[in-house]
Amino acid sequence: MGFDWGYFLSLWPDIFRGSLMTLFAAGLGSVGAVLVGLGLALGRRSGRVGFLLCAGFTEVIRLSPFLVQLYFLYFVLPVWGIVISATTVGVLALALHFGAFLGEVFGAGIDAVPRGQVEAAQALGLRRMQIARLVVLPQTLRLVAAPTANYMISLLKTTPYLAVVGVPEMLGVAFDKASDSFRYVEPLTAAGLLFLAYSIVIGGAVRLVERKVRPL
Amino acid sequence: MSFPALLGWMPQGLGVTLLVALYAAVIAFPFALVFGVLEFKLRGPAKLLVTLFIDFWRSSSVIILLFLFYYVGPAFEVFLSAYTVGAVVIGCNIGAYGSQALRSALESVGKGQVEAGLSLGLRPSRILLLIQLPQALRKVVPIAGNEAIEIIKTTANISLIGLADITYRAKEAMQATFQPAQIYTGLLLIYVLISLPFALGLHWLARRTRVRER
Repeated sequence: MGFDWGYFLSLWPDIFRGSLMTLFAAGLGSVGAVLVGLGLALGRRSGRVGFLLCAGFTEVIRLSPFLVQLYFLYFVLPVWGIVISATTVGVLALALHFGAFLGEVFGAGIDAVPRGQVEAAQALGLRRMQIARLVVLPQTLRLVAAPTANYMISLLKTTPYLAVVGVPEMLGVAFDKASDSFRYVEPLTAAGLLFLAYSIVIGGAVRLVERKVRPL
Repeated sequence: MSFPALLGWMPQGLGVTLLVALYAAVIAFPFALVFGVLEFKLRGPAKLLVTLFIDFWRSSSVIILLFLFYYVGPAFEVFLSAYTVGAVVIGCNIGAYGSQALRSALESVGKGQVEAGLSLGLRPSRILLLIQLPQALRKVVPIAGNEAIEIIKTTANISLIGLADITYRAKEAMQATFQPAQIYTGLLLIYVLISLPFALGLHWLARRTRVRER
């Protein structure tokens, strides 16, 4: 069969448009994941029930494949009467999956601030919110910046799975093209190359974050 | 539909899932060991080649790599079974992540220990084998446990290249019964149950090492 360069080049506009969807889903998923992660990290600290619920949720998410979680949301939510678009399901799945991992990171980051500092702040008469905002948060943010950025890369690498439920992102577009023309080589190579380029650029950005934002 | 009928799809697929996970593990752990040590020891262009090879397996998504090898291979007269593609891609992907963990563990072994080994007249290869590797391997045990869980989870992808693992069987069962809630809850729980022994082992290990550090 070989490699058809003309066909390969003709694919780029559509693959590029698909890649914008990939970036959009990954961006929205990242924001959602940070929110879910914060909720889990705080939920674990609020009483026995909160701890059990958050810990149980985290373990189920961490020990099962993303693909299965995606299928679960895609096929089971409608049974429960929640009908949302494939893209929303995909972003939700990304947010929940990576939120579970980030929850652990954030929890460890909060724990890493020595207890004595909180007590010192209390002794100085700071209120709870002031302690969180002025003492704990600045140190936690520095600690969690690098691991969070690394999970963002994983999240980007997970977005192609959304193609499985029909989200028109990069891999989905490549597969549509492939099933139109019965040529798999060129679309998949194009998607793979563009994906590699994005990974390298975002990986470079993450390394920059790692170097600039160091724990105190 | 009765509950047993809803569970009928499980046993057939479980064998495929576990078999591919086993093959992938047989590839991943030696891959991590060999390339972790090579990236640590080599210098110059040879090191660059090793790094590029590792990064190739790390930098893309497993799903893209699976499709690439499964669909693009035949165009270049490379015919691999779905089993082989699944085991090789998952094994090399997880192995590449593992190699980075081993390399950074090797780098964290104190320089003074290498110098002590040299002053005792040990050759570099003996220093690696007797001083650096044993300490590094101890450090990566928890990471190896995580990689094992990761392998099991990643095998769900092989359903996408037509292998009849549990995820594939679950989808078949759903199309036959239209009971997605039960089937997918069951599927999530199966994966959790397979991975749980590893997760519990890791918790136990973490608690034990924490006590020792005190």
